[in-house]
Amino acid sequence: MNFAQECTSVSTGRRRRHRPNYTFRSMPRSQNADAAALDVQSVREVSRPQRSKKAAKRLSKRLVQKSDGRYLIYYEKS
Amino acid sequence: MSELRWHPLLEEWVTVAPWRQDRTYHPSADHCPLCPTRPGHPETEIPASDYYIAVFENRFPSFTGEQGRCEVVCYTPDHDSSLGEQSVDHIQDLIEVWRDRTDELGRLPNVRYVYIFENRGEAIGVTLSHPHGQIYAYPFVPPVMQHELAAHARHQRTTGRCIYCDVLAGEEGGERTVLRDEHWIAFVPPFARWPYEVHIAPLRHRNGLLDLDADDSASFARILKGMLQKYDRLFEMPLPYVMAMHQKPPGRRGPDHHFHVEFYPPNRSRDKLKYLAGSELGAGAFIVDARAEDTAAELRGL
Repeated sequence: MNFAQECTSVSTGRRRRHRPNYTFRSMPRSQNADAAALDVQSVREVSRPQRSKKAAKRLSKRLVQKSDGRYLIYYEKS
Repeated sequence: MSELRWHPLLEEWVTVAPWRQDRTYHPSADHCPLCPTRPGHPETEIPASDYYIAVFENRFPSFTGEQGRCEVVCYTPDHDSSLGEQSVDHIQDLIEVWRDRTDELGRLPNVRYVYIFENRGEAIGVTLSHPHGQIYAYPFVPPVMQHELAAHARHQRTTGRCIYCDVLAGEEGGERTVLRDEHWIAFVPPFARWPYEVHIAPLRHRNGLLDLDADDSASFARILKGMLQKYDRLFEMPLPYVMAMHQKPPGRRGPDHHFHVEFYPPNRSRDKLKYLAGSELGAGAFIVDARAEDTAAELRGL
């Protein structure tokens, strides 16, 4: 926890205890998406943006796995 | 994996990644991890003896696994080069790499934003001098982008127009223009927070890298190179900067945005830096000691 769950400077006696969502997994969508007006669920359900048809591929791509499991991608002139 | 802690006052995420304390710090050119591997020398991040453009997962990531990704983009095998020194053709290829990474990382299930950026120069805090950029695929929309997207959404609701298109319309007079062609513009925005801040943007509305056509990409490469060359001529030295690409979040039905690239050089003169201090850090209120019209004229004349 990175902050007190209850503010100690104010007596909140009968007030409902505030339980902040301070872990990522419990983050409600509205907490980070409100300002962006981003409906994440609907975004995920639709197909992805398509590459512009006018932009031809200029490079080839070669994927390599490093010894520690990380990936490395070489982009080369087609 | 990193720990994400919610800042309840600012309502934003703080990413805690203690292992980054041990990341490679100013190695000598002989021990640069971003150079190709030389025969008889220890293997670098790139085991090949040469490469054109290479991308790999950051060894000290802020986000990995189900949280997201952190990638390093090596622009060139030439240790002593820079982005601005690459040919327009090479930069166009790099734009294709950025597009490919935007597309691929944006498909990861928990990724909410793909952010392409470059930190250049020790004044910015760069720990590896080899020309490279980075990509963060965040599990949330970062605060700056949230502010921009919200402003854009509000403006669109009230006027029916894109806010950044309206910003660009305000640059028709050219007083703050640094470079311009048929497709792109480089300008010092009237609201610049750094003395030599510059935005470069497509004149036609484009949401992000994935929306750019061949003409857009070619113009983007020319304007980007031209701008970086001007930056290095400004004080006759490699100018430190942060380059930040702002594009729409992944997803076809995500919020609309106007793709643009922001540059924040910390220098206010050759030997003086602007520091973020009391007003900027403590209050979030930038004080800038230069007029955009003056710095634009200076940059335009280089």
